[in-house]
Amino acid sequence: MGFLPSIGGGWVVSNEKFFEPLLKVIDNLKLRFTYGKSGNDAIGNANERFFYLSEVNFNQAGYVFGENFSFFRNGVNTLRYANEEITWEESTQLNGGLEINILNNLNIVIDAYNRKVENILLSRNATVPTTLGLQAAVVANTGRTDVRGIETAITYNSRIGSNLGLTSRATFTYNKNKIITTEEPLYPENISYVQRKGSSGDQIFGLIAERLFTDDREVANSPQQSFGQYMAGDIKYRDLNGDGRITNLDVAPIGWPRVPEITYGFGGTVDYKGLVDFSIFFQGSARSSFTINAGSGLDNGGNVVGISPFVLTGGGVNGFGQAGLLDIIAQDHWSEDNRNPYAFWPRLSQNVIANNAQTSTWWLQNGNFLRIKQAELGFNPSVKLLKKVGLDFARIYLSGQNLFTFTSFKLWDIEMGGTDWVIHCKEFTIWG
Amino acid sequence: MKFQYRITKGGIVVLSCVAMLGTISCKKFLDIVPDNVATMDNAFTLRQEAEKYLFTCYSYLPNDGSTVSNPGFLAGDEMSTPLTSRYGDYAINLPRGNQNVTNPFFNYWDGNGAPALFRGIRDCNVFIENMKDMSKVPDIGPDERSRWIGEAMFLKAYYHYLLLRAYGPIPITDINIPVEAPVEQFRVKRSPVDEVVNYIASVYDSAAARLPGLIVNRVDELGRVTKPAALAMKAKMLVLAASPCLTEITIMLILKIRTDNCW
Repeated sequence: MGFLPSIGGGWVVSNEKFFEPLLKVIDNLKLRFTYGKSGNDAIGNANERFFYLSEVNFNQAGYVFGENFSFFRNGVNTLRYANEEITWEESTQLNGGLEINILNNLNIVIDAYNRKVENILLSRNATVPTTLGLQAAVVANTGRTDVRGIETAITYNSRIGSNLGLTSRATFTYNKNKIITTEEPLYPENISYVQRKGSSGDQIFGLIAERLFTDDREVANSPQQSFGQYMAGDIKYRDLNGDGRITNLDVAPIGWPRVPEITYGFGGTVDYKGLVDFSIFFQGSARSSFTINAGSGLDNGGNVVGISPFVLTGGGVNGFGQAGLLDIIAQDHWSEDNRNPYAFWPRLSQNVIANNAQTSTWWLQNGNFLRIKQAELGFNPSVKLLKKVGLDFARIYLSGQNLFTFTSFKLWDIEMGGTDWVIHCKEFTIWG
Repeated sequence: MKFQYRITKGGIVVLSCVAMLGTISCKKFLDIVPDNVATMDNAFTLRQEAEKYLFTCYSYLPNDGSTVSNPGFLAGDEMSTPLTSRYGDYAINLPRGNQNVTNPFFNYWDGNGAPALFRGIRDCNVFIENMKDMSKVPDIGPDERSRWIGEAMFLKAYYHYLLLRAYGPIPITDINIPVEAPVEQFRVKRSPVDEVVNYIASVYDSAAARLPGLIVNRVDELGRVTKPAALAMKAKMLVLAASPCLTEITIMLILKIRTDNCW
């Protein structure tokens, strides 16, 4: 049960009397706003429809008794604890918009919004102590996130003389979210950087990598790193809280959020007399980071994720997989002969070295890019010419996609990010 | 509800108001428990299901007969193996120097390479609480009911003892804290060792009063707890509590806890 009202209004300023002198320049000016609440009941896990009820499983590992270990009974496992207080997420959004049309050519639409999402269903793992003895995560509507952003779209159409035509458009979106409350313990002042609160929900948290250990002696004399076995050639992390150990309390926000805060695109088409036309479209994003997956594993589709070479991974329904050896790993890795403390890849191994596969600044990459998404050069022969060869219409064009990308990351297509292996091919088409 | 309103000749103001009033009268309809979901209540409707719950309580007993689960066998430096395939065996990791604070081995607190004993204690409490309710599990005899409660009490005391042995002062969980309780109530402080010892001893006593002296049905029940077992474990715990080693550690720990104020 919920009461979710909303209110909206618009004002076409250009229709007012006082606006008449400006009409020559500005054809249309409209202001609008909406304010309202909305509910989201698509929360939690889709398989758990009744998550206010408790759920138990009677087929867990039990215990065996009897002289010959013959009396066996299954055990009971609690999958979920009852919680009747569960409710939906509620968001309150204020949206302001501006539409303006100048000289019939330039059209600008700007929307700004401020959204407050409350009652976010969160697992209480971080605040529920182990001593409570719970087997299943308790979820409750305790989170709150604030989102603010701007969306802009500009289009410009014009004809220069009678021969040259121009159509262009540009879009720009800015979106930033911030966690106001979340389920996490209160950390002491000196390690407040671990805190998720105040960061973006997509913020990357990771260790600060210093360099690679040069030898085992250095390993022995450095803060102990608690992510499995490590030795010379493995990544050395910074002990942020100064307790002489590298643990999860040395994890800090690194880089930008995973989801770009700014995405933009622009492009246009120029045509001459309808005979020759050229169009180009750019696409870009800014203020995002990603981390290279330095582990090895299989995703649900059986594709290898993670660039750790030599590791045979998987073994389930999808069989085994092995990441190919990247050229940069082959060229630039730490070895006994070449103890480069800043080599791209740490010590080689046939297993994933957990110490090196941690999310850290070692694998952090800038996600900014600007790419020529599409370009097309077309030629439409004149009707007169075509009649001579017995055609009504023809178009010859050269089109290319993903032609060039401006980015600081050169290893692979930056839009693949750290783990997502969707390849954007460079593609050329000539068609007559 | 939706209405439009004209203010001036040129400008238009559109006001829209959408109100969603939910289902108020359908409460009974929505209160039905779906068919294929087994809830906690199902665990205590029949003796057969309750027995499974009792066996669950037993299932937290550490696997002390296994060389890799019992640190007493392989956690020392007497023997090791170079096989990486044995990394998963917890005891092997200790002599290799892989014990760590992030995910420690033989973690009775959270359960890594050892049973998560606080879960065991919670299960015992759930079992005792439900079995003491006479309206639940109607097809069980009063003697057997009392014995089962005694067994769960023994296990609860024994799990507290294992925690005491590993961590010294521990929070006592005599009654389960409800899941929906506020966070402050979750944070139970550790009790001093003497309190823990007295508590465990008293639970062993009340368990012993309900337990049989001897297992009669050896074919099906050998291995279940008896009165002598409960009293013997109580004695063992008291010997541990009298050890000067534990008391010194305790004093140290209590001092640290007072300053850290951890739970």
